[in-house]
Amino acid sequence: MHQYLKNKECPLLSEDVLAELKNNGIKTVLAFLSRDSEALIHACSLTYQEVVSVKKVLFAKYSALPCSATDLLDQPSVAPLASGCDRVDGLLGGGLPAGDLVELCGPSAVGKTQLCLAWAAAALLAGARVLVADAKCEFSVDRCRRFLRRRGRSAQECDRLLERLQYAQVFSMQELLALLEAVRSRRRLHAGLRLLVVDSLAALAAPLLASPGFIGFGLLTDVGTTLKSVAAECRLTALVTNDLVQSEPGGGERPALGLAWLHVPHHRLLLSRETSTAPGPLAQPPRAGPRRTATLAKSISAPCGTSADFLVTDAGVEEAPIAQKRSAPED
Amino acid sequence: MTGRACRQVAMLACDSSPCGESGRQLLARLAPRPDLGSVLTELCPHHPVPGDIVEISGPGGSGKTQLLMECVAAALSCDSTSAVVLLDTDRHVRMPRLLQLLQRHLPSAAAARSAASRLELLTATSSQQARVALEALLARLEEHAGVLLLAVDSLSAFYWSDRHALGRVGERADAWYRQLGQQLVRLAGRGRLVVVATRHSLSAGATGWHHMGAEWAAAVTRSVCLRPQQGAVEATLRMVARTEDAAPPPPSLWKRRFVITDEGVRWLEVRADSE
Repeated sequence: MHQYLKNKECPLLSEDVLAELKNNGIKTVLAFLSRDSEALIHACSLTYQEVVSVKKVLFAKYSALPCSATDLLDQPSVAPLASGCDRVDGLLGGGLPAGDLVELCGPSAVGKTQLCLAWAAAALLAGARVLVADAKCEFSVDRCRRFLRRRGRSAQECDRLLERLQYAQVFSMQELLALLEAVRSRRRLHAGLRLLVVDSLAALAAPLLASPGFIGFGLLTDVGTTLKSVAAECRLTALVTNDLVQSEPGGGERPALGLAWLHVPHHRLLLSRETSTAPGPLAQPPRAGPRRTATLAKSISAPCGTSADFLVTDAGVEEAPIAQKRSAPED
Repeated sequence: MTGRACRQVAMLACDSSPCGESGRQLLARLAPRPDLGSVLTELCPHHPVPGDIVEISGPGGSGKTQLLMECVAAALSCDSTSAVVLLDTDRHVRMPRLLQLLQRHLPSAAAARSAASRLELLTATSSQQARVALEALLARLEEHAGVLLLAVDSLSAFYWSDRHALGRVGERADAWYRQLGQQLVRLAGRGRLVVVATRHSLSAGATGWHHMGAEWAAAVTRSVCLRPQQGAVEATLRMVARTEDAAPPPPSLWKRRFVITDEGVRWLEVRADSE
């Protein structure tokens, strides 16, 4: 938070100068930079030119990174990552957008992890790398392999594709932050990384939210900031799963992790599942689970409120047959 | 203390201008500013003027960043030399979307791209980075003489992280954010900029609580509160009379609804209410 002034920042900041500044209440980088240069030469033995030089060094090191809008516009675009289910991909404009943080939100066993698996398989098939941070030990690489096999890949090809999937178990927010920082700082090692999955963020963060000193909310904010930075800098999609909780007694449901998290993701898909288990009149693929619905609840680039039905099968995520209205019985 | 008096005190407290300024700084300060035609005039008939501070608040997904980008596009389009500085802490701003909005204001794609080139984007990954960037801007105001608008998205991106980190060293977040507010007020005053900043709703049900403090809340001349409602967004604008206003203040409360389309913000009916 506070970066304290140190000799290593600039050779002009000798121990004597630092002691003089400290005596005048100037201990941090921000305190130094917010004082006028004329005031600083009275607080220490630096000359005006030396103060200006030190300020230049500190601004270059600690200021926000500037860039021009046209540089960003000239960056080559990265195609969205499609899951194979056109309707679900269509909610996000063709698939998972590169550079964005996407949240899958829904109750337990609704299909969040299955969707993550489907997108991971799609990324591997596209020749990209995938990193999975698993907090619930529910991410089945075997299931991912079955998705690849059902897409027509041989056993040897599946083995070769799965070598590009990196799996890490994380049991705390601190471990997740360390993993994300490693991805950011060692970008060459993670070249080709297109999808970063965190399953599930709620499992990691929820136990901390009631802790004193706002440690849970603080870490959650740090994770959100780092996820978005990694997604933007590495041109990948960060995909996280979250639970739903009751907003108030008798009220509707809302994403877990509180108001501190609500504004963080770029896109939010709410997942639900039909509760009826009786076979309906619609033909569904064999070994398909119940019909599920994904609704776009928040997006920075697509209209919200649109939804798509899908099924989870052995081949991954597929479009559900369009529901037909039952005709009223004739009298 | 009235809102106007608070604003005067806030500006005096924040002004740590050096004794004497160079000729270059004087020229930059006194040069006439182009009229900042802005999407905010849809909300009320008065253009924001240099020194105005506009705050857009609301829950996540209510359209704060979209409204901010409309202001940025309008500022870049109002003059062939106008420039904008955008401090991005939330990473919700997208350049292709900005280009799309500029093409609505300008006659050609080339003109839109030329306008986009006058946007300086500062991306901060921490509160300290953001504040150092604002100090850098303050220190080099004469080099930014063409900047009409400072856009900040958002003021509250790092709030909980800051609160936790500052609490660990025994400090309070409200002092930190009060100083951030003072930086922005100084920029608005000394730089003769319009400052437009977004702020998330950090606490459900807490009325009157503002993490930036009372001094900032008093310095804000236009407060826009967004509330999603029945497929649209209701925007409530509250205006505070500026210190230099000689005429009686206009009705201070406007309500308007908008929807966000592919072409940008589309305003629906307008209604002016008096408090």
